[in-house]
Amino acid sequence: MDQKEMMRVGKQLLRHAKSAGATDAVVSVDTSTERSVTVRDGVLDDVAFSSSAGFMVTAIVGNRRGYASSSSFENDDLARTAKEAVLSALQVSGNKHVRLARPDEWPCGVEELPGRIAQLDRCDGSLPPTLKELKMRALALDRCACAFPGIARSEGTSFGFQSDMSVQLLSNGFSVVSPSTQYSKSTSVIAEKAGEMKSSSHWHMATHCADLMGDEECARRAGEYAVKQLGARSIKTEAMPVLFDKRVSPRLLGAFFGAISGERVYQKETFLLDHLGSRIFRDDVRIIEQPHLPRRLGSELFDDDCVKTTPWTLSDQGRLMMWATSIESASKLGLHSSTGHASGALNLLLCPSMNSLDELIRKIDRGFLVTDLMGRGTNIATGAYSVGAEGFLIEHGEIVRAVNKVTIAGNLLAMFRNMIPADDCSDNPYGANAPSCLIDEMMVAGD
Amino acid sequence: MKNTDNAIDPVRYFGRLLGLDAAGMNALVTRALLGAEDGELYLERSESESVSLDDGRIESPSRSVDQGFGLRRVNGESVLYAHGNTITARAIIRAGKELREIATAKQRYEVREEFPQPKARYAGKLTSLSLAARVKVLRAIDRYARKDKAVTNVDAYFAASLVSVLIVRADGTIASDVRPMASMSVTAQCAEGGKREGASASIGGRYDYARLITPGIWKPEVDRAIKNAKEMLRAGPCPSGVMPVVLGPGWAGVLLHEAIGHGLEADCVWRKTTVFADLIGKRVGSELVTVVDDGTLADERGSLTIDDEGTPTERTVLIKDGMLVGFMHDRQSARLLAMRPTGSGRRESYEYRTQVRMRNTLMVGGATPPEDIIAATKRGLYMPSFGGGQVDPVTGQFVFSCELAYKIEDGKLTTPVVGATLIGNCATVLTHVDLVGNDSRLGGAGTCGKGGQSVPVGIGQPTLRLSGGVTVGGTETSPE
Repeated sequence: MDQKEMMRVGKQLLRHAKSAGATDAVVSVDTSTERSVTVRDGVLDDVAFSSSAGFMVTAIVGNRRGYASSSSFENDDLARTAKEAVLSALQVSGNKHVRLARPDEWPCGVEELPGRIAQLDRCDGSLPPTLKELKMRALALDRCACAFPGIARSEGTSFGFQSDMSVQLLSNGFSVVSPSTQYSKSTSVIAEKAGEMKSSSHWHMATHCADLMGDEECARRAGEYAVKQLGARSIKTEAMPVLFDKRVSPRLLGAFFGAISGERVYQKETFLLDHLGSRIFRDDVRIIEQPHLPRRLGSELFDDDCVKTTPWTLSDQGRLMMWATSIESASKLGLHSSTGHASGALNLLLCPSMNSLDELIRKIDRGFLVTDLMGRGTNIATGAYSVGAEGFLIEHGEIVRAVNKVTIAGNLLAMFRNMIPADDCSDNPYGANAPSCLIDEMMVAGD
Repeated sequence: MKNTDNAIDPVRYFGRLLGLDAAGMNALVTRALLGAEDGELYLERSESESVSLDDGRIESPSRSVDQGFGLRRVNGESVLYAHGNTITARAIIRAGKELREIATAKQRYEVREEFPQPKARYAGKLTSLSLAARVKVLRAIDRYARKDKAVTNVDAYFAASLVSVLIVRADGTIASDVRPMASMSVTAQCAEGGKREGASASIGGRYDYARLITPGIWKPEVDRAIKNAKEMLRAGPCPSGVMPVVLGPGWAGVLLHEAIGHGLEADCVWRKTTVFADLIGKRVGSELVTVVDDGTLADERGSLTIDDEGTPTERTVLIKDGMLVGFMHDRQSARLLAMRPTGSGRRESYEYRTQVRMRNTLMVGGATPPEDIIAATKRGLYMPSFGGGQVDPVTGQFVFSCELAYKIEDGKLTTPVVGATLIGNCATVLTHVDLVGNDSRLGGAGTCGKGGQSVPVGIGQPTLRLSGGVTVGGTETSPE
């Protein structure tokens, strides 16, 4: 299905919804093709090839809203699905917070949208790679990963390509086509020494093939970590300073963003409930969003409500500046407008500070450098935090040995209050980024 | 789904889309999988619907239809997979051609199971309730929960699906199945003295809504969610360190599922990514431990008449009296390890290749009444349930979060505690089981994730005690 056909289907769905009784409607039509190849120790392991398409109709009747979706595009299916959305809407409670994005909330006029979308530059114009080409590239990375000193074998190395096209229509005239491409590579390796094994992986993604991390670098990041973690053992249970390495510190940002979600604030299910405008971090903590970085995965002009995204400063000088809202959650909180967060956070960044990482480590007498986390022990409602962890023991300002089989626990509010960001920074191609962060004290449970 | 019997006959339905009869479908698959060692064409149509109650309001009613094909070509250790929404012979031939371009030709795998028509483990239909009727039950749940003054908010939902599949194998086998699923979940938020906590409960299985909408079924779930949320309100900090841990019956078996079950899925055996790979016939648990993976239980979430490769399902004994006696297999792992397929090849949908997966994984009950297990424990922690967990298959390390646990002091359950994390090692954890209750049962409504695919599973165990081998992570230092 091409762009024109998708637009035609979308407009037809809007008409079907209207004639079934919808006062307003939202339609999305998506198509995707994907090719990926995984090899393992030089042998072909997994090949995927797909082309898929689907659509979704949100029908609004007065202030009621219902949904229906389908992957079958027969003419009858279009009309039937639109009607089902309307019928479901009629069964639900009225919701005074339901409305379409107003033209003044759109990123720009409809006629300017294609140009603005093009500026995001999310499409690699080159010819899509064939499965054969992907296999060659996966094999090359796999060889590189297996050649890293100390690595016994690979557990799977992949190279993939995906091309997506998405059409979004609102019945008040908003209409946009967003194409994007995505290249990805990943490798997972096993280091082995004296019968002990440790696995580690690294992945990278980019909208443009040329932006992908080089094979050597990708292989080094996977291999080096696995080798360093060999010989890890637990430590004695005690409270101590915990340094979140930049491999894991972005996850603290994930907890922060979860806690400022407008819906959670409305439900009073966040530990930051009473902290809007007040200091929740040290004054060298600044958290920003960069939704419009060109060529970056996750850059968006508008959110799921079709409200424009904005490069917000979420925390300035340690103060909590705002809640992150959608049309609905903003309205529930009595706020005039949505902040454009119906699709979540967009390229969050905790800005690196002036605090030297080496200096922070040197000042730790006995502490724990966390490099990987396991489990989901984060309670956003209360701030209770307890997860499995591995990393390295710091003694007298030096990293002395690898550690695993421990848990770290604390309360996010207390952790945030004393968190010291360092001067390094993660370089995740997608999602949040942050420097390493030192928390003055957490309970580390081990033997 | 309409208000009537809505089952489709997969052979007729997909035959009509393709314009082919059974012989024609076989010819199509032979052509699309030319030179393959094994594989199949998997055709699927799934209809699903859900509606939720949030803060007294009925929200997000949705209905979706998804259909497509998956063409899988297996050669030795490699799997080549193509899928799409367009169910036509042309699209399938094109997919086959795309895969063939990077595949090497192989001898056909000719092992065909000789089996009678498999016995159905559930009714192949879903008599749906109208949306209005479901809404009525959700409102009743809301009213019932709010009778408790501590309750500030109630979330609940109903979801159901009917998945019709047709499998046409490269070896000529044609199999079909129609799989219903219904589930219900409730979350209660409670507040007291400025504190707020929430807890959930859920149930589900391969049956009609009719089973779930009976007050006798949903009331105990609502009661449990409210009780747990209120217990969390008065809970203290969790101790940390090594101590005896008693796990509750039913859903706490998620630890068994994650820490042991995944390591017994034979794809990790031939890939050598499980600590159990070379342990067949060896002791992996105390003699009190017997574990089965059973696809034949009536109406359970993990029950299947046939798996997604067309193999009839079975009850597979994995650990008997502490000895490892078997793995779960799909056709690929069975072939590579010269074993027999156990009907454990499953996939999330037509968009995914099959993997070796658990169905209903259960530890068989022992002899001790559960209350005696608590009474026999001087000091430790009781974990009735887990929120979720993670396992590193290579090192065998596992981590589980427990939202609500209880201290055991002098053989009695005392203070509730929140924020407990449990870590240990898969290879040794079962050797520390020193008491097994007589109360084994399945619990909850489990969905298992592996390699990016989610499938419904059954999870269960009796009350059991781990005398050691695990570390509890909390914020409080343990009293010595």
